[in-house]
Amino acid sequence: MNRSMVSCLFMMVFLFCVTGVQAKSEMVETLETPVLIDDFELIDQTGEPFTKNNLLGVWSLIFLGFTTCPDICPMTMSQLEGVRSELGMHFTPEKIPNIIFVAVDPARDKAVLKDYLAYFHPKNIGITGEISQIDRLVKSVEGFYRFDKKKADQSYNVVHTAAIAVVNPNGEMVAKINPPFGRSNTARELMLLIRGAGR
Amino acid sequence: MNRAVKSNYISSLVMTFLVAFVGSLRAEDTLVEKVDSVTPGKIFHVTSAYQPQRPGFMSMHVGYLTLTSVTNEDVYIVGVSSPDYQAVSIHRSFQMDGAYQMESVGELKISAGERVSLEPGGMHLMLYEPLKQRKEGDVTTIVFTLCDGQSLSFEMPVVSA
Repeated sequence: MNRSMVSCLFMMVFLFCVTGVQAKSEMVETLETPVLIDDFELIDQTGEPFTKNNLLGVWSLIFLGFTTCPDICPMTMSQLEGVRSELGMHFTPEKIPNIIFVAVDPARDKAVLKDYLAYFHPKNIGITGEISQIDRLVKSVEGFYRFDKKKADQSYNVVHTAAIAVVNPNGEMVAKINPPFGRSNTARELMLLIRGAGR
Repeated sequence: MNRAVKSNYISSLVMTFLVAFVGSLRAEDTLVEKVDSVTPGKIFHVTSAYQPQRPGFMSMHVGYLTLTSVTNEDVYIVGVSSPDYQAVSIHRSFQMDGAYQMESVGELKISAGERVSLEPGGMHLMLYEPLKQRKEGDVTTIVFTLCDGQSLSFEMPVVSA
């Protein structure tokens, strides 16, 4: 093997490692042991009850947020819609995950949840309700949130989990999507996860 | 360089660029380029400025843009305002301990010849209390105040979310 071939191989390995690291940071983290979602009673944006039963028989992507969140929540919803759109090219509709936005600030979220969801894909689901019931679901997906101190104008920020829970049709969290995540990479890894679960 | 060495050299270069190209395809750019505009003045350019439309009940909106220095001196933005909003500031979203958080950025430095992006999930303009309903097709005027007291303004279109 001459010198130029060796340098070529070296460059290829180097570049593959660099790009590989970048891809790895966008990986869907699969849990070694699935976590069963606890019972909860919330309502969706149309006012209909939404419980653990609504998670059964379908894949779900559960994201914690709040409706007055100006930057992160709309961005994440858009990204998840992109992921779902890519999955739509590979799966029949029943295997495409629901996107579920858990509004953790019911004092501000409850009255406007329907208007908020209207700005995104019509299939998206928004749920909220009593704090105690929200907390049951949040605990199940190993998430958390915290209300920041109110400012003089009474506004406040809500610190919340960044990861998105992937829940299988048995109502078990089986993976987490850790941002920042790219649409194609996440869709590809979810596709493998969903196909693998179907075997 | 004889023909064999030259051939190997070229194939090496081609393979390297091929791998780099494939690698770049795997890394996705999450910033959506919306609209280009240029500020008046010779201090920095504003490009890709846009403001996603938000539901009417939201009193806080966001704006995104890219600032590119065209001077050989560092520039500091020490204030932001808008005739279309009660107040504007620069904020930064970030992840810490697995959670999304947000903080105010006191002043924004644009190093000489450098580029600073305000984009979803990172730094952004936080627009408080619109003076009237903002909808797709509207244009928001933003005024930056620099540390030497100069003011520079530009327009940012409201686009569909």
